[in-house]
Amino acid sequence: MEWLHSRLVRPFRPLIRERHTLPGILSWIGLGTLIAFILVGIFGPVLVSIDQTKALAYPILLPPSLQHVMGTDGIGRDVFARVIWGTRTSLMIMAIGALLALVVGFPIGLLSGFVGGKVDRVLVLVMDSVYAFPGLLLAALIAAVIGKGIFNIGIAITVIYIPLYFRVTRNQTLSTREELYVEAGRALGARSWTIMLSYIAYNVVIVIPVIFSLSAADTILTAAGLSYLGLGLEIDIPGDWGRDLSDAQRFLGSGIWWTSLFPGLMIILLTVGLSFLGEGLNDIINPLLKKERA
Amino acid sequence: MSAPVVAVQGEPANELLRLDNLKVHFPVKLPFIQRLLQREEAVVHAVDGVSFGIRAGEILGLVGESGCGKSTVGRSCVRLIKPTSGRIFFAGQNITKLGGENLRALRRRIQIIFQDPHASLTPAMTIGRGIGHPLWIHRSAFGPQKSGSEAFGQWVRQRVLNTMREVGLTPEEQLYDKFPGDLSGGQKQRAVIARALILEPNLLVVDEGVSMLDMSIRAKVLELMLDLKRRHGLTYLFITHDLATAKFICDRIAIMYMGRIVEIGPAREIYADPKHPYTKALLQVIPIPDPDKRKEKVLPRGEVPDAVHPPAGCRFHPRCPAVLATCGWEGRDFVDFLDEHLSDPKRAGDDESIVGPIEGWHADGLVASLEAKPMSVEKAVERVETILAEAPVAMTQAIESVSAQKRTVMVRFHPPNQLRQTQVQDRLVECLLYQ
Repeated sequence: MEWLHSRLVRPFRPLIRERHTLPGILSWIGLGTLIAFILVGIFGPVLVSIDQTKALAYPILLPPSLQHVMGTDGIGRDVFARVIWGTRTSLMIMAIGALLALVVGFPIGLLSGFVGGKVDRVLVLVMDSVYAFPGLLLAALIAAVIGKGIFNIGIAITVIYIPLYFRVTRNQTLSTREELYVEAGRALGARSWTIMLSYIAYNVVIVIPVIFSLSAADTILTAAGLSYLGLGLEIDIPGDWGRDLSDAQRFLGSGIWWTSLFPGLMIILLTVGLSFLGEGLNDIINPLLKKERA
Repeated sequence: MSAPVVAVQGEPANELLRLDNLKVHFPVKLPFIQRLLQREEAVVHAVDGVSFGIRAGEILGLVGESGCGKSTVGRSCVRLIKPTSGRIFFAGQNITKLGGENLRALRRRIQIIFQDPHASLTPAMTIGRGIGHPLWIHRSAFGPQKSGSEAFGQWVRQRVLNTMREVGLTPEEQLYDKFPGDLSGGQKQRAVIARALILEPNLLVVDEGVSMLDMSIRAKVLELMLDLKRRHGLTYLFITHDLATAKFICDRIAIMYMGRIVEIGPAREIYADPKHPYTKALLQVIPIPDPDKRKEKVLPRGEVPDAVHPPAGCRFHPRCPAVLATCGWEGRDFVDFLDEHLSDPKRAGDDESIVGPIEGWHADGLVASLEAKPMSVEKAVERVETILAEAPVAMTQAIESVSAQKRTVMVRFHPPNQLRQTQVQDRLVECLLYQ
């Protein structure tokens, strides 16, 4: 019971307490957006038939109407169905990319910050050189090597974000390591392993939601960018915002706006929502960190 | 006031902890270029030769101004800091170089309580879990309870609740699942005490353990510590800067100044009749709650000197009101004196043009020297002698010669007398007045 409480309820306490402040409102808007997208990603494809996302399902370039709320595109696909199915694709890439980066970056950062010394210096050097690469370029390179597909794109994106998680975790570990309760733990006779897991990791984890939201927002953009460049997903994926945007641009000149507006809007909404959540959490959690130190 | 010199020897059998000439030096972190230029390595002499023993069942107070090294002594006793040299004995066993599992076993018997109860508790652990965690850490030491994680958890919980009740952290069932942030300062310190106590240690090092609590709570926590001592036969090393607290709780006290113990003995006697000039000065700053009884204060002059280059001889001599000629005067004391003299224009007159500027003076051990202008070396020597007439008598007496060598003015001091700990009545004092 206590275990569940401390992990599920407690993290939301500051979020509930700060709900009337600007960061609190931002976070709740962001969280709401994310939940809405997740619901669409899960239930949308159940309600909207996959047949509507295939080429030549309808006449081409129909403007938005009651039958096709977002119109149809240049090869006769329903834009609304594409957008719904694209939500699932994007969320999957986001989950794979951001989660994998977290699973790899967090432990390495923790270890590097805790152990210090030469291990730390080598790891920082490696991570910094990856970080110095322009993200999209690196992802494009990896995608070109390992090929297309949701999972491969997820991995390509993971590599960009591992250094981010690494840096943040390591820095937080370095400062937590100097806390008095860590010294107290050593005085109690705890082994290094116990100190790292029971005394340090707990207090480093709190920064994770912030970078998770921010890097997830970035992930969406990068994935869309890769697809836009034609490096992303297979052609038969039932929904791919970046690629749909890329296909739509040649019609823009002839006043056909609906094929590009809706996929673009989805990218912006999800990205902005995640950014709201990340920035809001950052503002809420950081002052708390400061207060707890004081 | 001369007492027979008694060498400090012998380790009574019932001593629980003994420090033998403990030294802890911390390297000073310098920028790379400076490190290349500096010949010797700069170290802070945090603890510089401390020896004392604590008998089982006694409360020894370690008292001194902040920065005197008392906390470093405390942390060395629990082996959180590695001593530079010297030895630490616990129950007859040399623990100076203990490591690994032996050190872990030792930590069940020596526990430390820090000044800041809030920072000592992990914010992510509930009070109950935090207090019980030492039992999980030392799980293998609690033999019979080892069987079955579930049973052990139940046993830990019961012990935590008992300990919480014992330290007055009640209602214990409700506080068990609270987080440190939900508790008051006094409650947090009780939780820290409970966590230290749950391993049933023999020695408790209390490092400013009540300094952050306000007065009403402080008294209660001190009462609790005395109470626990009676019930568990605990021994305390009680580190504090607060003489009033030390007077209340300690059987014996040791007064520390710049990494050395200057006086150690029974608390009551030291408070009634301090011997070392530093102890006297320190005791005078305790406020007396009676306006008529206010005495004149002889506060030590000046700042605590730099611990990277501690003064020669007795470290207290530059500030000491009872200083002798043999206490350790050296070149830089003269430079400091001259600096003070020159910065008062009324007294200095045209001295600056003859014996200045102050930046031209170099102090090297017992000698202070100045490269003077070729024509005025003799004049400078004369003027230094005139100025010295108004210097403290002890310093003037300590000067061996003021001379001119070619173009250099030299002020040379006599070497100081060797300082020893001396038995005075029932205590040890490190001061030439008693040697």
